[in-house]
Amino acid sequence: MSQEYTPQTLELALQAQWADTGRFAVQPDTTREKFYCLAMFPYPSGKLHMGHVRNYTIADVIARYQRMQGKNVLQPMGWDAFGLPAENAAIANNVPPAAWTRENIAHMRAQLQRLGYAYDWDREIATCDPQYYQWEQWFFTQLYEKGLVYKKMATVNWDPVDQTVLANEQVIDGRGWRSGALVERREIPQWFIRITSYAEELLDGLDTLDGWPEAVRTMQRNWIGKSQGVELAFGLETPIADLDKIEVFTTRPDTLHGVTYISLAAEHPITLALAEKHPPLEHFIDTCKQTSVAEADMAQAEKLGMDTGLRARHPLSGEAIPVWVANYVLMDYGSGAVMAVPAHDERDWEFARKYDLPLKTVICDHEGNPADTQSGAYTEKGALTASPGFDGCSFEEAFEGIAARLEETGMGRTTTQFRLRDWGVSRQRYWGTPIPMLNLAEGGDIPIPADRLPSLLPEDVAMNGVTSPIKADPEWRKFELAGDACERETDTFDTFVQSSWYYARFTCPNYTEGMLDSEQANYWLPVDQYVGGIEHAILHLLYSRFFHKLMRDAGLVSSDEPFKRLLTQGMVLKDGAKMSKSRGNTVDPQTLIDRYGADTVRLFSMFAAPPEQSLEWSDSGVEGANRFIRRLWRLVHDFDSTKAAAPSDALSGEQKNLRRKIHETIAKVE
Amino acid sequence: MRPLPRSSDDYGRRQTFNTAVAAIMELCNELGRHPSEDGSDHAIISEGLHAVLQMLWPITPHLSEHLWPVLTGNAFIESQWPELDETALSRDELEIVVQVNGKVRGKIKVPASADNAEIESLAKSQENVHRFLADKTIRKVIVVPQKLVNIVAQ
Repeated sequence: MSQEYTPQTLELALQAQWADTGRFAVQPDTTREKFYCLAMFPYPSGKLHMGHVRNYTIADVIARYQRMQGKNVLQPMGWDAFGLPAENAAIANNVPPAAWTRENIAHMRAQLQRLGYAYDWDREIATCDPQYYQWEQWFFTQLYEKGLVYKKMATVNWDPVDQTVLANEQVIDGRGWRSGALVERREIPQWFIRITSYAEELLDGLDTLDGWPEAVRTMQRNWIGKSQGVELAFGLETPIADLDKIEVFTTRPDTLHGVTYISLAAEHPITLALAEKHPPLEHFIDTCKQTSVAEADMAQAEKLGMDTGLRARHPLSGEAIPVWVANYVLMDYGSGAVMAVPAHDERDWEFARKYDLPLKTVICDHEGNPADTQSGAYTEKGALTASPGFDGCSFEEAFEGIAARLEETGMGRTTTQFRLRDWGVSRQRYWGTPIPMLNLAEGGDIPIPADRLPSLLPEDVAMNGVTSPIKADPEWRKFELAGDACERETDTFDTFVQSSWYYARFTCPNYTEGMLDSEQANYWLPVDQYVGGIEHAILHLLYSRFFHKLMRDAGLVSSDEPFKRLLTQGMVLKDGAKMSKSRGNTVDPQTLIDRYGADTVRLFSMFAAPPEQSLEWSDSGVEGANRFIRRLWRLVHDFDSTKAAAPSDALSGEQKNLRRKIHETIAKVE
Repeated sequence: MRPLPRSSDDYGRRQTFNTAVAAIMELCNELGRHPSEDGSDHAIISEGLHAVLQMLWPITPHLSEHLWPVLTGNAFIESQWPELDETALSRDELEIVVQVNGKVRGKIKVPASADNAEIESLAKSQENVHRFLADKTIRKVIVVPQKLVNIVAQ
């Protein structure tokens, strides 16, 4: 046998053997304990980067460790294959997104195989395959039948030059990424899934997830954002747009006497009605629409407002309260109107200062004096002041008392509100799952019947970079239903829809009778160990939890939660910064594999840092890992096992110490 | 061989794979340094190398599977974690820290079987400790089994 360590030959030989013998292919076996280990599947961007290598090595080590414990271990791999980058690459390289995506998959699959991960490749899924997305379409039509999806007008970023909708990431400094035109906000009809119907359960379920990092649970709690508050109304003298009052929600009814104005969203029906007779207001609404709807952009954008001249009646004092329109109030959130209490809310304080609106202090500081609000809002809770009938009340007393008073007069009621909004799943993009709905000639919409699914996405298309090929093609949308002509929906699903249930499909990837084979799904689920980046702490993990409950309520799975234990691995850094193409500080794992072999790369990524912390790249660390492997190689080869005798009963002190070290290490490592 | 059920640690529970690797590397160094003079030496080094290849398999599977037949002459069996021999963990002698009024003044080696009285007397007779106690009256002696002795004196 060769005495030279040649990782390329020996690793390839073993990998071929693993593949030929189906070493990591698994089937349910009720006589053994199962273990489902899953790393978040990658977007096929082209080639693996070090972040992938770290993520997948961590999961592979856990999967292999569990195999050593005698468990029946499922570790699958697949591709989150739809999404915007494929469209961009298609335009840049003049190749259809499907072809580009599949080429990348082939390349990255070979890279993963070269790293020797213990995957059951028979279960590989690509979400762009109709065999996968047809069940997503079917499930959506089921949700439609249950009333869990609906269509409504929603705000999007509109590029007036390219005449197209832009994703939030395509808006750069308020301008379209291609045209450079100032982006507008526009309302278009879109499909929503009622995640809010599950808000309470999604919140409560977090308490059962004790295998998740507390930070992730907290982020989800905050995102769901349950709060107790009061819905109340400010009356109008004369109805506008058929409304005789302006409804608002507040978690601080105790500050109601401090309201000095009301802010409406630019798209609020009252705003729109007023603008018809008031050109300056109409102009202002247009300005508001030139702000991206991304939450981060909204927070940073300069706050702009305009007095409508309208006055509304305060529900307790009866005072006339000025009604403003402001660019930071969104129609999508709550009622599209907020009561402003500049003395006790920071955003309102800034706005009031800018437009010289009055402050009214109604909360006392810790000393019991009216709080000083001249240099900033006082947002803490405290005893009330300047609030007739409630002076001296605590927050709780005032909350209850004011809510009761409003209820008596029919001007308000206590409610629970969630920050969580329904999930808008329509995207005006091409490379995605076509939404399986039909627009009827006489108006309205119905699902595509199950026996006519999948609604196939054409793959052999040319991208012009502006309009989605299925929107540009008048033939594609044509559909005939019982002899009547209607049209397919030309929007596609948010790619988060595909990643919300792939973990379940891995249990029965080739099942043709339905979305899931419950017997297989219930054997393997829930996932025992999920591994992925902290950037998915909220959306992906929340949507997956939501889909799991939807699938449970459709009788497809029996568990309540999809992921028992979650490990969020840290980033890979070089020179203190995250490795990224734009920074030019990347290290190509392929070069390292070619030079040192997969085992060195795997060993370095596990040795360099605890999995949840950042890993600082170091060339010497890689060399150190390689040196250790070579040393162990030599140690084993130089060792003459024929000389070993049964250990005598009377071991020397040194011998005993070495045996102790061996067994201490076994106990520690396991 | 496994008298006590135990919980898994670096791999299974804490998932601190970096400390697992560090421990395995340290063990390898000791195996490499150990003289191989008699049959027992060979047997123990062989036992150690077996354990190392098994424990490294999740991280460097190719290396482990390739070296296993070199070491054993047999094909690698993956569903086997190295057996822990609890008896190998026991020590004949323990090293115990001796404090006087809470400050470390020495270390003593005591037989693993020693009781508190023996440990106490060994501690007091340790040269440096003896010096610190010279002109003092012992008020109290606290023995933390297998770890330390604290002598309170005035």
